[in-house]
Amino acid sequence: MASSSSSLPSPSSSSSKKFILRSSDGKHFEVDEAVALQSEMIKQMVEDGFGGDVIPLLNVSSIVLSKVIDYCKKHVELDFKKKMDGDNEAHEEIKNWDSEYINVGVDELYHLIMAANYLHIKGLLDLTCQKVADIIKGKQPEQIRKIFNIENDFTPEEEQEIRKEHSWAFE
Amino acid sequence: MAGKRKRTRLTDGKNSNRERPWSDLPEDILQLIMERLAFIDQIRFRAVCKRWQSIERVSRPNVDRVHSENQLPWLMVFERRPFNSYKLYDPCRKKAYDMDAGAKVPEDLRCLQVCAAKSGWLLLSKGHPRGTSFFLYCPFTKEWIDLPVLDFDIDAATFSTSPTSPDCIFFALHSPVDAYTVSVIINTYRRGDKTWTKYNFNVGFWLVKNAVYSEGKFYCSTRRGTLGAFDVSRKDWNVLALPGSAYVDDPMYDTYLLESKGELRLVILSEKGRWSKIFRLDRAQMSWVRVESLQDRALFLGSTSFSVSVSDSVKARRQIADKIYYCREEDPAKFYSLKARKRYVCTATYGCLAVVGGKKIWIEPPY
Repeated sequence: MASSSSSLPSPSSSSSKKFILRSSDGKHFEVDEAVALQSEMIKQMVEDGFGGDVIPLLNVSSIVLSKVIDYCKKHVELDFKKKMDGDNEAHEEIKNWDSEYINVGVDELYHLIMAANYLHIKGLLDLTCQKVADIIKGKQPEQIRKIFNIENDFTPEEEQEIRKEHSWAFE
Repeated sequence: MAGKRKRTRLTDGKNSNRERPWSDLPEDILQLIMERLAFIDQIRFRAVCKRWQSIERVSRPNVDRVHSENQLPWLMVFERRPFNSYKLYDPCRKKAYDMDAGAKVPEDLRCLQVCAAKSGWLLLSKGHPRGTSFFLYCPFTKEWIDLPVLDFDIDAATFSTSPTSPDCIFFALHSPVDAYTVSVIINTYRRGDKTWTKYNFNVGFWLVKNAVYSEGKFYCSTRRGTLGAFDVSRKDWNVLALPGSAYVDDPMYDTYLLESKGELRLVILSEKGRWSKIFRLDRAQMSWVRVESLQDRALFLGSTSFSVSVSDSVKARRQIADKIYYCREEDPAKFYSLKARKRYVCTATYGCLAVVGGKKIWIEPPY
């Protein structure tokens, strides 16, 4: 039962229930119940009486899933710590850990957003969307397009119209 | 939505590019991103591609207010001509923008009274024999909103929060001066209501300066620093006679009331900019306490007033902190340095717009 190795101060004892998640490319991940239930989607499945051994996650590859599980594990651990040590210290630790965790390239960021959305993990969805917003902040549309590899699908006339309306925002 | 199934591995970035993944993000995710962008970034976001353009702007984004608190107000100058044109000056990027309200604005902007500004919106009023008309105008987006006409004159008016929020309360105070009656007439209005709601109090309150909202109350001060407070939920009005208050011998001064970090501040500034007195309200004692220094803050005073914290990251900290910036109608915009006890024209921060002709006010860009 040492598979979910982490430095948990043991919020979940070895007697806790385990879930097995299967990624889209067929890999299996065994996680504690508390970790799996960070996903509202899985929680809903369980509440609706899902009885299988393995939860298939058709939209999430193993690479992304393992990263998502890292997030859920850490947050179960930190939530526990918050209850024990009080809010302030844990809050600071969550903030630091999150900002380190989300320091990824845009491709990885994209897959994390889609996974967080599919699995309904609110904290991760907030974190990833905030990261996108932070990237966009203070940049001009052409810079944003370049970073996210987005094609400019406006006609020159349309673009001119947009710029005219709020010329001060594009200088 | 199973419509977009991603089976690409993280390393297959090149493949996913062909599928335009970022421009085709689900609408609710794009919405979540939009909600986290400040106003100017929202406009740029919508200019990226057609899909992103389909996401509506959000009027009260979930952005770091501390950050926006560090932002210096912009200077807005109403020009004499052409009709309804004005300039905006961004002190951070040191850029002036020519704006033309054009046909979107049914009134002559220069003839309207500027009552207050918040979240990029101006509360404007126009007195006429039947009472007072109120308008909201956003100089950045040129959006215009008519508010119901009030049957009274007003001495001061303001609003509690971003006016596009359903929680926003508008406040107008009138203190009629005649030999027989002593009263204060207060009117409040919430978006969605048909009319203003009137409250009448038999308490005298003269020479009212601007009104300010802070923590559930609207405050007004008189020229001498006597403070009146209207409690929004209890709907009562109290005049607080304030001991040790702001009496000064030199009669040539202006009084400004404003909120700063949740505290009320009263600033008395000599007309010639030779001296100033700053007070903060001690809510426990209900008295004004004299403050000698603003430390890392700067005050911006005029028909609209702001208090700004100049953070360490702002390079110009030394240049901006502990100063009182003020605009008086058409005069050049100036600042009074508390350290030097002198006033200067603020061209260093606001460029030549500080000295051009035309009525000037401070305005914070929308979040």
